[in-house]
Amino acid sequence: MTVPIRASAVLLALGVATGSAANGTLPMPTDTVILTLSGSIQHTNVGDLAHFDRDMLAGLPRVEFTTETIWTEEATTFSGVPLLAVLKHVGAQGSHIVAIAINDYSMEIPMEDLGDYPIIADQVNGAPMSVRDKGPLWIVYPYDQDDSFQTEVIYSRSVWQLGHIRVLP
Amino acid sequence: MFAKVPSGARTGLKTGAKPRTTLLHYATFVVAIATLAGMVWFVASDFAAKVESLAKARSDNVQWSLSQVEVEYLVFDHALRDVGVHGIDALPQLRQHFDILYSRIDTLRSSDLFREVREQADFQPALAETWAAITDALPYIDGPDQMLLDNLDALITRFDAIHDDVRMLGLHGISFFAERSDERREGIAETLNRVAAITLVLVFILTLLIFMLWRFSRVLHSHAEDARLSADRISAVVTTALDAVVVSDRSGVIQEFNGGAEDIFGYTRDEVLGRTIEDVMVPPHLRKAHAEGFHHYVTTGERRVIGRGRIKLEARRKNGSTFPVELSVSATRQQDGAEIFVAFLRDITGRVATEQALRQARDKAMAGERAKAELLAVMSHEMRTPLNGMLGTLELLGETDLSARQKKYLSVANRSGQLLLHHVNDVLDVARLESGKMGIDRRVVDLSDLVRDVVEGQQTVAEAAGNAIEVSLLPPGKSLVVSDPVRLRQILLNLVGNAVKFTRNGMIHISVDRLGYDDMVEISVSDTGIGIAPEDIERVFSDFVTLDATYDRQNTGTGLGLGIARRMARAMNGDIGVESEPGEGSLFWIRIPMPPAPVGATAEVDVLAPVVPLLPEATTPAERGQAPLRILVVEDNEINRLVVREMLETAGHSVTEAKDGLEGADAARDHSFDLILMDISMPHMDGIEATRLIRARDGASSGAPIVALTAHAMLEEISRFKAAGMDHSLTKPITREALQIALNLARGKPASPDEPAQSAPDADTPVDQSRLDTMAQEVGADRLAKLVDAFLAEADRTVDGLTAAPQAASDDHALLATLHHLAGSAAVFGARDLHDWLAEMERLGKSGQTGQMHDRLPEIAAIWARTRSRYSDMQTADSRK
Repeated sequence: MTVPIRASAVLLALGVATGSAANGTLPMPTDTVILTLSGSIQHTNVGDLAHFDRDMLAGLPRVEFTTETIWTEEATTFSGVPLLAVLKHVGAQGSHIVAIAINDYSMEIPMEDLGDYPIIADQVNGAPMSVRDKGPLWIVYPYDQDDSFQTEVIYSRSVWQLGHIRVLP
Repeated sequence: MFAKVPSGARTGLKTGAKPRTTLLHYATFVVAIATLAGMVWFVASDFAAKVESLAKARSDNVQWSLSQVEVEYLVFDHALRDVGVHGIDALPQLRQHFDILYSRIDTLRSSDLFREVREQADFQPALAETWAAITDALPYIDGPDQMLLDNLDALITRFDAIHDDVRMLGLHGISFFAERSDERREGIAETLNRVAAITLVLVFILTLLIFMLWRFSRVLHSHAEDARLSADRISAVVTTALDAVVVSDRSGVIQEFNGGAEDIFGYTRDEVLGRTIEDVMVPPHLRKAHAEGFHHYVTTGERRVIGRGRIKLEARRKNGSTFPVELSVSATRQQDGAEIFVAFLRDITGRVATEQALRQARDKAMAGERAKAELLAVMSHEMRTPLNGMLGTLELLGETDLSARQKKYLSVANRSGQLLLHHVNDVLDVARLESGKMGIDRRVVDLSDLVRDVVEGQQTVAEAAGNAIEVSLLPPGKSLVVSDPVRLRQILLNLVGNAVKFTRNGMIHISVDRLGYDDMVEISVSDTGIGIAPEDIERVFSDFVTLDATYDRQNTGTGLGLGIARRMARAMNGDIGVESEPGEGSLFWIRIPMPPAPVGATAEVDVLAPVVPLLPEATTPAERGQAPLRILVVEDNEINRLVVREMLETAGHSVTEAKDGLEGADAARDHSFDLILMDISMPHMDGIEATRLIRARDGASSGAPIVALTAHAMLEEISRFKAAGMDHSLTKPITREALQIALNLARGKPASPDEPAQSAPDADTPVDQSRLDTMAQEVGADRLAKLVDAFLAEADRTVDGLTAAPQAASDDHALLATLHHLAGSAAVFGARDLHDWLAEMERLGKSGQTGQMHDRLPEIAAIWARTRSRYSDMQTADSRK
């Protein structure tokens, strides 16, 4: 899949668009923070961090797909926001991101590998995810759609119990 | 793998072997390619499968996940103890770490990734124990803070208890997946090995293919070289050929025209290339046929000229002249598959001219032969007709009152006439033998008797010349053979006659020997005469050759005798030859197959050729007791007409004449006749046509007997006469005897040619003396006596047979044959009473009155006794003369 090229193109476009719309700062979260972005980002709300509660995340353009995974027994419907869209929303400008789970699992993902997918899923089968169900957030790919989503690198990037994303310059 | 492919040019004769070799090549090649493709496919699909399996990872980093179980357990355990230190503030942290642990264990329980691990014997209880601890903790974790705090120690105890189980999960998983990893590595290694092996095979096959291609290339190169050499050779052949060689394409456009063609047709090569054969070489009058033939071949493929070997046609030169050519055309194909025609042409003007000259010469020679044959036929006919008239007139003259002197002159004239007739008959014999129309008889002959007869006949002449004749015959009892006595006699007579003619005071020896092969009998006639010069010996058998160096030139002849003898000998499947020494003598021999006669056979009575009386018979008045007949004579020759008329009218009959067939037919229509004598060869309408007309018309004489008068009666002609409706035929010259046959026919009596004239003046006696006199004049008294003896012996035997055992002759057919045979003999020898009686018997037998015939058989004894005594009297009287 030609993710890198498309990703770069989308990156550029979103960068221009969100840059003007967000205009430096993000709104403050009103509920429990479920995702924190740090590092090389332009739009923040708490110090140099960007905090998202469930509603803030849900307010971004959403994507939904159903796929089988190697971790679940049946086909599962994931719904959430493309990772790249979140990054653009905070004006991320870097080469890599590090996705960090609340169980301290972490994985580096090159920015150029991001495109329509993965998404940061906040709902599984139409319901919010608890930590016990690998929530509250899960970076997922539509594994069925393409063989290129069935590699160990992709599986290792499918970070569940996501809590923090650091953008590396 | 590949046999050396023979080169094209050298294997022009082995074209059959070449396609097979090529086929083998193709087959091998196809098999190699197929094998290769199969291998490539196999390797590729194997590879693809492996790559596929590598591309789709079936597992996450499970080892990390497993090791993380204990980490997260320990973190949770630490958080539990933390609560003991920090109190309620540490609870959110505890709950989160519980959830993480929960999630981890839940994943182990439910994820497909760990299905195989879960099935491990030790793994399952450890997982169940751990999950039990977690589910046990749920009410407290999810319950109010105070409740959680109150049960903290219990939870710590509970989770401390499962530490070994949690550790077990990690260790088990690690060892399991380590094994899995090993297996997978080995699998990949195996695949790589296989790939290496297949690669090796591929390399080998590719090497082989390269070798094959190299061989192909060499063979092709060699073919190309051979083809070039072959083309060079053919080109040299075509260029130097003396014949014209013309090559055209399928539409007849000339593509090659060699030097030979330039010479023959007068065109240069450049002038005709690109033009059509039709335009250049075909004469205008043949162009249509040429175009049609060409079109026919092109549309149907049927070959009329092409590949049919040599064909003669006409061709046209540049100057417009046409000339005959011999050509052969073959069709072949060029490299591009287009059909071309190759024609070899040869100018055969000279040959055709020679052939034509030869043919003309041959035609002329054949025409000469035909003219000769025609001349002979015409001569024999034209000469016989006046001769017949002359002889007939002499016969009539003899019936008038003549002085002794006149009679003497008449006799001389008659003898000369007969001699002339003899010569004419000789010529006619040649003509008949030449045309193959003379039949050869096969009868039982006593060869010794025959030779003795001939010698006897010549004895007088021989003695007159002072010659002695000796014979050595076949042993007694071996002398009966099967042959044609008439021809044999004629040949012998000629040879002996010649020997006598050309010998003076010498010795003539006749010798009969049976040779040891093919029933061949050799009869040689040697003499001590003048002999034949070597230069003449080859032509003595030619026609019209007379080596007339005879004493006093008294021998006359046509020069046909030996020619006739040779023809006859050959007609009897034998041959004749001569050896001679001038002054010493000659030896003539004939060798003719004569099979010995069957046991018990007897020589048949030697019936002579048709009798021609030398002297006119005494005047015969109209037959006593016979009513005069009305007779129509149809004959164009006036003399012949006169003769016949005279003869008939002398006998008391009334005669009407007609000059040709038409006149005769009309006369027969208008008047009633008892007999019609019909010449065959006549102007306006011949005798055959006239006979048909008479028979066809319902005229007054349409049922009258018609007898043909013919100059040359050949067997198949007689059948033609019969077919036309004629009852009988008589050969000219017409004699009184012959006429008698016709008269008998008119009276309803059998018209056997053997039938003698009836009713001489001395009709009272049982024997016709005049008949015997006639025979005596013809054959000589001595010979007649012998013949009469033979007849008497035969009749004695027959009469004895009939009277001694009349019952034994119950076979009517055999009896009739016996009677008929004796009747014939009786007629010849003038045994009138006997003949009449026998004829009556025959009539009875043939009309079915066999009973009466048998009853009357005994009468023969008395009749024969009377007849026999009469012969005895006559013989006694003769011997006294």
